[in-house]
Amino acid sequence: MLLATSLQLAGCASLVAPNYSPSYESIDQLKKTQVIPLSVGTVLPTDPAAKVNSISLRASPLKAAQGTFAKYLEDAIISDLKEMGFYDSASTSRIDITIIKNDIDISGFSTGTGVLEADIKVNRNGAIVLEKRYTATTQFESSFAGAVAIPMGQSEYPNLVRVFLGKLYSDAAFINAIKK
Amino acid sequence: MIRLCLLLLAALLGACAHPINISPVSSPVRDESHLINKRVAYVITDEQRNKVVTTNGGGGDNVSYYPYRDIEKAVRDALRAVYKEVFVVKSLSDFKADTSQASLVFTPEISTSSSSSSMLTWPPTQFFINLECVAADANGEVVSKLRISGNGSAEFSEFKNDFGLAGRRASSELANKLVKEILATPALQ
Repeated sequence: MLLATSLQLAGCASLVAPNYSPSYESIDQLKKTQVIPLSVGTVLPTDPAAKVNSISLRASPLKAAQGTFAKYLEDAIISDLKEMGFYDSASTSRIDITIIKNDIDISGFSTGTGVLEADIKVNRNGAIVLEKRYTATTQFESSFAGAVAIPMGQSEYPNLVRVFLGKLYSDAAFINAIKK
Repeated sequence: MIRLCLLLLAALLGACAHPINISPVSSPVRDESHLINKRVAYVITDEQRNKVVTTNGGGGDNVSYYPYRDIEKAVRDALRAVYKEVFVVKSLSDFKADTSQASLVFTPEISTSSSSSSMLTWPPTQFFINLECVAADANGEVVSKLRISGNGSAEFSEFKNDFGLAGRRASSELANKLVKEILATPALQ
């Protein structure tokens, strides 16, 4: 019976990505830089039907509580900027993001992978000072058993976003674009 | 043959722990007008952040998770709800080497347990977190030892989309209790 319910839990339900929690070391490091107040413009695509807003874990859909993974990323970066004291929703200097790739792949029986790729644009008082594509990839232990592999893939999503934003915050080009 | 395959599958599932996430569902409110004007640090080592713990789930199965990586948000958000500036260090020696005039350093030790009243589903229905946190001043002198627990529970209808929900609720309770405990401790004001 447990086997049946394990398969039911893993195979049928629509899963929700766990809440984002940042790489606090990256945040604390960036906080040491004097940075201009920043807003977050558009994080695209906003269409829930867009390919990057849909992740399938062995046929179980993984959803963001926010409705789209674009909004998940937007909330994550706003939360980080607030924590660092850099966020100002009215600022004319802003970060725009377009997600290119967003996936957790658990098709393998021993290893799972995550990829998040996005174009980041920093607009500083009307002038674009950074246009760059950033890619984060992660690898994690997976399993033949869906009841193990699927929750492992679910748990990986906030880590993938953490790795992506950690990479962004430590990039010299990004830091140059936002510093005072 | 079918029976053999099912037994093999059951054995495979039984041998593995189901991964869950126990990061907090919600965080204590940070009210900028009521913060203590202090810069404080907390210690979480790389080893702790990568530590995986396995505890009981339901039906004889186990669950695994990263207690420090997931509960760090609860600890940090609790400190941020009290103090103006909060930052993480990898060791007490890193704190001592810090030149930014931080006045307190918190060293948390986390232990956890979980259980389930269900024989049919593996996610835990009960989760318990125990936090022992030593607070020291800038000279390394211990000024307080806090001991706080967080409990969380979840039913099947709630956790079918969020397998670690009982743990996530325990993390949230822990964060709120940590705020209260710090505010009730004069040495930490």
